[in-house]
This record gives sequence, C-alpha cells and structure tokens, in this order.
Amino acid sequence: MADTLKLELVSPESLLLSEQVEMVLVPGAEGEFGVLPLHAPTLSTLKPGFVDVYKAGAVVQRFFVSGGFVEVTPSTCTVLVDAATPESDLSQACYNRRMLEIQTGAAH
Amino acid sequence: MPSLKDLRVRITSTQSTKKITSAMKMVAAAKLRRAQEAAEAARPYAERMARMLGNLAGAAQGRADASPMLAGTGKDQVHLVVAMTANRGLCGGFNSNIARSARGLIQELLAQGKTVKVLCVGRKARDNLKRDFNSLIIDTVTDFGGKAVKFSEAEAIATKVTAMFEAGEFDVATMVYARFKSAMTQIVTRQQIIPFPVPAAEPGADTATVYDYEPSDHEILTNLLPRNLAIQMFKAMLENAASFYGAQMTAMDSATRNAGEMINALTLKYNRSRQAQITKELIEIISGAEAL
Repeated sequence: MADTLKLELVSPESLLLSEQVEMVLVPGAEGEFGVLPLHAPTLSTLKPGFVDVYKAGAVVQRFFVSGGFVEVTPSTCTVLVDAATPESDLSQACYNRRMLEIQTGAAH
Repeated sequence: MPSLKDLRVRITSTQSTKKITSAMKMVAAAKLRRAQEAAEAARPYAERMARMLGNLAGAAQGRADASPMLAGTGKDQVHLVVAMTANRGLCGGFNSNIARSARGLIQELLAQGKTVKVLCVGRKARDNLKRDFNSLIIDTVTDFGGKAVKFSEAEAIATKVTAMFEAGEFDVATMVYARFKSAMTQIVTRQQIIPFPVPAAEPGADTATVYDYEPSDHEILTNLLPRNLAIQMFKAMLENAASFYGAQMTAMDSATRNAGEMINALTLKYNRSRQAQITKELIEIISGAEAL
C-alpha cells in the first residue's frame, strides 16, 4: 500500500534529499500545495518559500528554496530548486536578505 | 664544452623545475578528484531536468506558439559559437584542442556563408581565437572557476546568451567544450544549445500520463528553457574543469618525467667531465715529476 512517496530534492550542485516521506508541502506558483501519495501528476513552478517534509504526521525537515520546479507523479515528488538551504542553517537576517534579493530581482 | 659550474647550475635549475611540476601534478590530481565529484553531483539535476523537458516538449511540439528556444527562429543565418576553455595554461594540448575544434567549426560556418559570432569563455579561448577571428569575438567571460565552478557563474553566462537570443542577435548557438572521459583522454565536443534538441522520450516512459500544469505548460516551458540552458552550460563547465585538471595532471606528469631524464643525462655529463679534468691534472703532475 502506498502510504509514502519518494521525495527527491535536487539542486544544480547536489542531490540534497532522496527518501520516502509521508507528505511534502511545496510553495507552488499558484499557492502552496501538499503532496500525498497518489497525487495527480502535476508539473508546477515554485516561488520562493519553504519546502516542508512530513514524516509520521510532523514536519521533520524544512528547506528554504529560492524558486524552481516540481514534478509530481503518484509515487514520486521531484523538486528541482535553484538553491536550497536547510532551515536550521538559516538565520533570520539571512532569510530577510535572500527574500529581498529575490523580490528586487523579480521587480527588474 | 660547458664548464663544470655551468653544468652544476643547469642541474640545480632542472631540479627545481622538477619540484614545481611534480607539485603541480599533485595539486591537479587533488583538484581533479574534487572536480569529478562536482560533475557527478550535478548529474541528477540535469537528468531530471531533461526528463521534465522531454515531457513538456512532447506536449508543446508542433504548436505555433512554441518557444523559439525550442523550435528555433526558423532561420539559421547567424550562428553563435561558445568556445569554452580554461583560464590558465600548463595543461598540454587541452586549450588548443578546444580552440582548434572551435576554429574548424567557425571556418565551416563561414564557408557556408553564415554569419558567425563568437563568445569566449575562458581567457585561453580568446588568446587562441583572437589572431584569426578578432572581429567575430563579441564577448569574453573570464571570471569563473576560482575554487570550483559555481552554478551562479554558469547562470550569468546563460542569462547573457538568452538576452542576446531574445534580442534576435543569433539563430543557432553551439558550444565547444571538452567532455571528461578519463585523466588521459578528454573528448572535444560540439553541442547545440539553441534551439535545444528535444531529448527523445525514453521507451516505456509514462508519456501517456497527462500532467496538470501550474500555471500553464507554456509558462513553465518559458521558465524551464533558460534554466535548462544554464544547466547545460554548468554541466559543460564542470566537465571542462575536470578535463582541465586531468590534462594538467598528465602534462605535469610527463614534464616531471622529462625533467628526471634530463637530470640523469646532465649528471652523467657532469661526472664525466669532472673525471676527465682530474685525469688531466694527474697526467700533468706525473709528467712534471718524470721530467725532473
């Protein structure tokens, strides 16, 4: 029974995460959405935000991503990001700066 | 006949050259390993990107509003050649092999009556191509690959190329770089990047699956294509970096060996002439004593 799905979090410089998880919350371009097993196949762009990884009903890992793409199939979820930082490595100041960079970058 | 002192000086200088080349070889070997790891780490992203793109392109093909980055501008009059080399030399034929291939490509295109523009990535590309095609070089990028190739550096080049393409400055872009096979062999490769050749759908892949697109397939594609260009360039730059260190390692290895051979030959010569001189002095003393 498919009660988990395979999450792959990939940045150009490395494969950050590849494991079975219960649920993933991704910041889609048209709103955040959760991905559970047997999700309909979807391709979406990502906006800057957090990718939350759920296991056993709780968030086990959070990553800040600056944008990218997500591909969902019933059994897998592949997140291609430009750059990802684990939340634990991210200070408030750094977060603010990155957000600002992205917003000003988008405003050009 | 060089004097004993001359020989001694030459031996010492060859010895220090040998020390330098063998140190460079060691450094190149260490950097090669790191570059190879980086190239491998980038592979999963590129693979998944290609899969996603193949998927989208299949859906977008044959449509009138297909992105020109995929379908082409309908012309192939103006070509952009992106020649990628290293910033530094001392690596055997690495840079000149790439430059030779780029030169061949440019000449082929010119012979076909096309207009050619050249973008040099790496100082050595410019140095090599400047003599023949100075007027064709539109830009040179040299600020990359300090410690390791960063994605942002590849992205900067890709943004430049995309902007030029959107401004209609060229129709087809090809990049020339060295694919890493082993430390001994690097294969100079020409790869067309614009319009991007659609990867053939893998047999047995779930092409039948209908995806939901958010926001829309067209919009995703317009986002994905420039990114794909950056990825392709990043991959090429990583391969190039690994190839560079491989070539440098091999070149420095043979330089070290040559220096060793030279030291042996010089030492032999030095010892011989030293002995000849001693013998000569002895003969002088003995014949002087006999004459008394």
